[in-house]
Amino acid sequence: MKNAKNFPRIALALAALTGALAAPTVLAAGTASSTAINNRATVNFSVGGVAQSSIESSPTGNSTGTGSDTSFVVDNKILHTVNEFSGNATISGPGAANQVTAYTVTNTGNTAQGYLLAATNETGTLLFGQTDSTNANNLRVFVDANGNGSYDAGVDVATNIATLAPDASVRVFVLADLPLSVTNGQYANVQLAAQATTAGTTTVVTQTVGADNPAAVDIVFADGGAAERDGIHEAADQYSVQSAALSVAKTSSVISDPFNGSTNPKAIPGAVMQYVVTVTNTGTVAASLVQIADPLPANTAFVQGSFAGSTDIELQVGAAAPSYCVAESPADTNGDGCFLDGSGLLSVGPPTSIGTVNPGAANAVAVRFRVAIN
Amino acid sequence: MNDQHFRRRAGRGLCYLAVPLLLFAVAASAEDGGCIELTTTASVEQKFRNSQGRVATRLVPPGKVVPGDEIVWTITAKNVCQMALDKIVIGNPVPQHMAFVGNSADGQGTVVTYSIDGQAYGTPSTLTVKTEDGTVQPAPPEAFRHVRWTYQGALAPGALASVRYRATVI
Repeated sequence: MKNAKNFPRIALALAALTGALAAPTVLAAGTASSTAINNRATVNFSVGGVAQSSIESSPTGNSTGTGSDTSFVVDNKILHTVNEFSGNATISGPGAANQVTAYTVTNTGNTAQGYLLAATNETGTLLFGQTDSTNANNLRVFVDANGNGSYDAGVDVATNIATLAPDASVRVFVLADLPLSVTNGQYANVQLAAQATTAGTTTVVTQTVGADNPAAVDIVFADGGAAERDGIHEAADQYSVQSAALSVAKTSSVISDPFNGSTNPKAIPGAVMQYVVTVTNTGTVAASLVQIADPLPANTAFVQGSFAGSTDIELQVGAAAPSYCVAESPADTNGDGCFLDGSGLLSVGPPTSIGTVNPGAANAVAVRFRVAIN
Repeated sequence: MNDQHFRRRAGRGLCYLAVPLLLFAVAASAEDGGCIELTTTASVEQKFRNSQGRVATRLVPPGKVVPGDEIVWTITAKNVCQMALDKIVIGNPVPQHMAFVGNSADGQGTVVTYSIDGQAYGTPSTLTVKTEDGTVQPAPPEAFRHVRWTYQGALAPGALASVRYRATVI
């Protein structure tokens, strides 16, 4: 009789010991939803000094030996993060297409979810110390399919996240085109938003309103303050426009006149004028110079042989040693990149040494030629 | 017929007086039900504005429970017999997926002890854990996997004893 009374207690103790030693799998995101949490207590007591059979608890009160669990179900905690990946802007230029900004989406809730993704332009926001001043075009979102962390066209084609397990992360890319009209020093801030959906679907989850349903898994938005709880998280990134910005200056000086020679010459008919066209790149990226085309001023005639070796045009990049070319008319027969067309347009282009204009005043390109005043 | 009825009743009365101990044993057996009705309840603490307009707290059934939420477990023992009960010990394993909240266990008239392995019980200062590098540290509350309330006195017939602790969903 006494053994029979003790047996249930020992069995319970063993069960408890096993539970204590087994290491539970603890996710950072927490216990998975739909997990039942069960609790049963035990009381041991005596009557008049005689130990009685132990009694287990139940949700409503139990007084026979075996009780029943008091239980509830863990509900669905919707929480995720979206973070910009690189910590700096993506450098782009005017007219650049398919420029990539990267983000990481992490499921910090306790249930697998899908996420609807959307990329939008921000207006006037501050990021990486720069204020948004323009917009990018054709914003598209792609999910990293092969997990290599970089955008692979044709491979990363999904536009929403199908399913992300608790604690798992995935890289997401926003692609954009910069308009041709953007200029050096402009910044386009963009935002990626991720909205929780039922895993494997594009159906947005909605929070369970009203009382808890103990038998079912309810949905709880755990993000933000009470007003913000919407199951949506966002992060911003930036396209930084860096380009060449060319400024062109043209100056003239009188070299000589028929009467004063080269001593204080005056700009009178017969005088020789030297023009200098200076191209400076005030941007941050080197420019490839295609052509400088300068119509000769009216009432002047191009003077040939003004420079060393009977050349017509002096070209100089910064303070480097100048190079020269011959401006034959009406076409560039010797292929040196310079010619004077039939309408009085002086043209300087490849393959001359001024093909690239690097940023900065010290790298300015100068083209010098002379005309005679009619 | 009335005479027979009275005699049967008197007979039963005699039985009661003659064998009180036997009746106790019968009453205490598992088949008939014991002398304590034990209830375990889960609640959450809710803030509300009371009738004086002040913010107060009360215990309500759990609504939506997600990891990180705190549950208040209340275990109530009611003496449903006609005699006093003593040497009452209530024990509760902290449920799986939950972590005990330090200093949250109480019960009027009880001494509370804890166990990590379900075998050895002690007060928090006597419980230790071994860390990965082999050093022995005082056990943190999350390591307490069993709570035990040992009553010091007796529970009168019809009386209710209530103990409580808190645990968070991991």
